[in-house]
Amino acid sequence: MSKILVVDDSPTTLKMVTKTLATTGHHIITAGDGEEAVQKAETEHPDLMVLDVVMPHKNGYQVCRQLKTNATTKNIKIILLTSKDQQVDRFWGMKQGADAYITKPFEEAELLATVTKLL
Amino acid sequence: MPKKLDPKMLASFVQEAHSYLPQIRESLETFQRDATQREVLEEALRYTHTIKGASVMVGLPVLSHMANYAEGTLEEMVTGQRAMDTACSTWLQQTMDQLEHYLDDLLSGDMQQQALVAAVVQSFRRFKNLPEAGDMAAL
Repeated sequence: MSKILVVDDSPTTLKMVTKTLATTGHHIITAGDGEEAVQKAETEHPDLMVLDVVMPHKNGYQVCRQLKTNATTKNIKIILLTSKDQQVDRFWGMKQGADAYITKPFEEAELLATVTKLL
Repeated sequence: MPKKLDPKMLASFVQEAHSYLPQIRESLETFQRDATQREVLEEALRYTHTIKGASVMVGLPVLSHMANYAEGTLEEMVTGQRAMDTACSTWLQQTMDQLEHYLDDLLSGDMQQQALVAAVVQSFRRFKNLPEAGDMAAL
């Protein structure tokens, strides 16, 4: 069983993503903003993160960049899950070191397949 | 309206979106009084973006589209492409009222969606100096 950290400032979106991922049997933990995401990534050592982009305190790009340049967190797989759907957003997200980029509204099958592929 | 809305998620979303609207309004009023306070504008943009993202997740693409209008305008202001003049402030506050109206209608089940969306689209196109026709077909 792997540990997945889901990060989103919207409680509703957080519930929906968590509900989808609960079907995988993995252990799911959550964070509501960028700073909490970094703190939980460092203390909880998740195997994978599903990370929103537009959030308070630190945005998802900043979180991704910070974790991927830190020796203790760089191996955490990161899926950016966002409603920023322009090509330039995707390009910028992947440039920060993300392993995958999915736009909202996501297809459950796509999210689950991406999680399976990365773990 | 999508065929299948999860009532629990919908209730969660309505409560969440309702909590953001007063904060967006307050941020807009603060920025109108003092344009040096860019952080409040960024906060309004973030809340609006969250409404846009969460609404499409729970199956309300029309509401998401309405929020997208406001987000685009706020983004123009944050990046300095648009100033907060009276027309802009009035339109944004009016759009927040319409978003709130939509949420209230969702809760009451008394959905006058088409009329509300038409009003939002028309006011947006007027605000942007676009021809009145357009967008409705897509919605």
